[in-house]
Amino acid sequence: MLLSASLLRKTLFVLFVLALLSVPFFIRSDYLLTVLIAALFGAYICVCWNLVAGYTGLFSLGHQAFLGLGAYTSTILYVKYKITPWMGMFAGGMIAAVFAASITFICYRYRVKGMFFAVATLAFGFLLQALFMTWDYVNASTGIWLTLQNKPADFFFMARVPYYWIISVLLVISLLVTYYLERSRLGYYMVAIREDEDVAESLGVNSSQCKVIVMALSAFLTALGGTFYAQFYLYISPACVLSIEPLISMQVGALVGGSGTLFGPVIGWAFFSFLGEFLRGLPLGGTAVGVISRIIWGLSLLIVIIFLPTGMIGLGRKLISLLPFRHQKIATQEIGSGISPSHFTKNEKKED
Amino acid sequence: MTTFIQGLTTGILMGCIYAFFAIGFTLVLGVMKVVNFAHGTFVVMGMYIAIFIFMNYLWDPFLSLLIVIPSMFVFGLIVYYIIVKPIREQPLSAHVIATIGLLIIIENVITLIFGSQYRTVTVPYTTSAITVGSVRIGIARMFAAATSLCVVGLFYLLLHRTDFGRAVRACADDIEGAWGLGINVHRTFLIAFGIGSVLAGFSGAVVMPFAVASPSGGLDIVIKTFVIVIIGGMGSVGGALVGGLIIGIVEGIVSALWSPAIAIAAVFMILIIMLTIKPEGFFKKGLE
Repeated sequence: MLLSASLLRKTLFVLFVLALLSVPFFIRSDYLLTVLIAALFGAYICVCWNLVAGYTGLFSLGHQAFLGLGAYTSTILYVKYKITPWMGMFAGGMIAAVFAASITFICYRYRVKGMFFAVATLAFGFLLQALFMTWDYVNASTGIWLTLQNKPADFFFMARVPYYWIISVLLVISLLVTYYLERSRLGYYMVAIREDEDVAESLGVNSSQCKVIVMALSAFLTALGGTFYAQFYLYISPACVLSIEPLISMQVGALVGGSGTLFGPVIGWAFFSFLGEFLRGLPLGGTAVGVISRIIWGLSLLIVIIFLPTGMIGLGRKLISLLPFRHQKIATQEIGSGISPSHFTKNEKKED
Repeated sequence: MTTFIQGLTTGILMGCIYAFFAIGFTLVLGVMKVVNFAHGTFVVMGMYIAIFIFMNYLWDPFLSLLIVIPSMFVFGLIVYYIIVKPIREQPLSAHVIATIGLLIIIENVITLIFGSQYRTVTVPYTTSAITVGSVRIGIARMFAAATSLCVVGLFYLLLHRTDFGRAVRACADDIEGAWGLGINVHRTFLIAFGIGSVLAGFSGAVVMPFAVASPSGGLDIVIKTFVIVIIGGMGSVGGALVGGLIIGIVEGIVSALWSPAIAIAAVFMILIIMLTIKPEGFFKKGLE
């Protein structure tokens, strides 16, 4: 029987979800669960960023701002107005989506593209951080603490397991969104815009609408992650949620795993969380662990961009296609067609 | 009014220094069309080399230039061979990723060696100042600004009055044409990138007598550099000076009248406004 690509993908997806959801039945240790929750959170924001950068080629360097907007909106609503974060979550998502849509639209309107879009979003992130640093209403640079309590109605849990379920569900939702977008009209438009915006427009793709929708969607999902961050770590400040740090992890996970692929960001971030935990196990001392793992992040970005533009997924596909099974070879080629990220190499001049 | 003039003076001095920060970036961008997000971190590297020399030998940062300049040049050459050469022909997103990777590496190597705390260099003239009317001007800042102006001027002369400068401008205009004229484009790029790194490190060392260094300061500098380059045009030395002065003055006045954090926000606002006002096509412009 020919193993079709879409069947393979569906099977993989279902297996992944089952594995994800079965973890709390095997792992009882709070420490391990905390590590897993942090890893899933990282993977989740990587998937969100991949949606804009990997699929649409919108190289947003301001995604930490959406994370921060989500975290701040729900927390402020809870602390000042007693509105449950379950609602605040979506309010934050909407605010982030509105900001994202307006930035994208303004950038499109004034033809700020490519690298300049990256710089504009980077400036937006820094601008927001600078403003929050001085805004007394949100406690300026001190940040906001939440108290640990047992109130499931207000998104507070004493145990780790509920947090695990929530972030797993968020991750699965983001993956499902990516999965369906990939096969939808909008998804094909996104890839067309990434490959060549002018050609896509000349073929009738409404690129401004498409970009605005994708950016708003991604910002919405990222902001939901922001609320999760606030409720899980119980502390937010401009120096953590609005800093460049989450953005760098999004980039590293998505690009090293394989940008513009469904599971690339998850695999990439899984690798880096494993690496982080591995380094923590070595006798290095507190701060050195973070520093060394970041040096490895930087090195992997360089390696990926210079030698392996398709990331780990691309490497895996290459290895699979070397196996001597004909059917699988066809299947993998089918997966690879159309969605392989070529936006790092597309400008290379072909020798005639 | 005094506050305003104070802010303006500081702003003008800082503007010259910002122009110095930007010329290496604008050289690399104008000549080889490579966006170097790590440029700000190169500046920070210069600062930390000066700090290292000051900590161990108590050399003045200006004296430490003797070591900063050659080491940054060699560093630039290595970076060119390992990173810039393979990605030069790839699209800009690849430049962004690769140079952000480089930024992360340098930043964390510095943190590993020096720790993440803020560091300063205290030389005898760090706190001394001259007073004109009611305006205080820091001596260290004046030295740095004067040096910056000199280097920017010399750099202009290098680009416009020497054979190397002509070769650089030829490469910026048309690579194929430059090859045709017998210019070794690869070597020109190599040396231009080396000079760009030297300018970054040089500017970092020069500001050390009054500035505060932290390993993560690079991104801040590179965003300011972007604003300057977008105001002044890619690869233009005169434009960099104008852009630097604009940014410096805005920042100086806003932080004197309101607060430094709002000044940072103002700079980012200028960047966003500049990006939207000036349409695409910065790269059409070569080195003036």
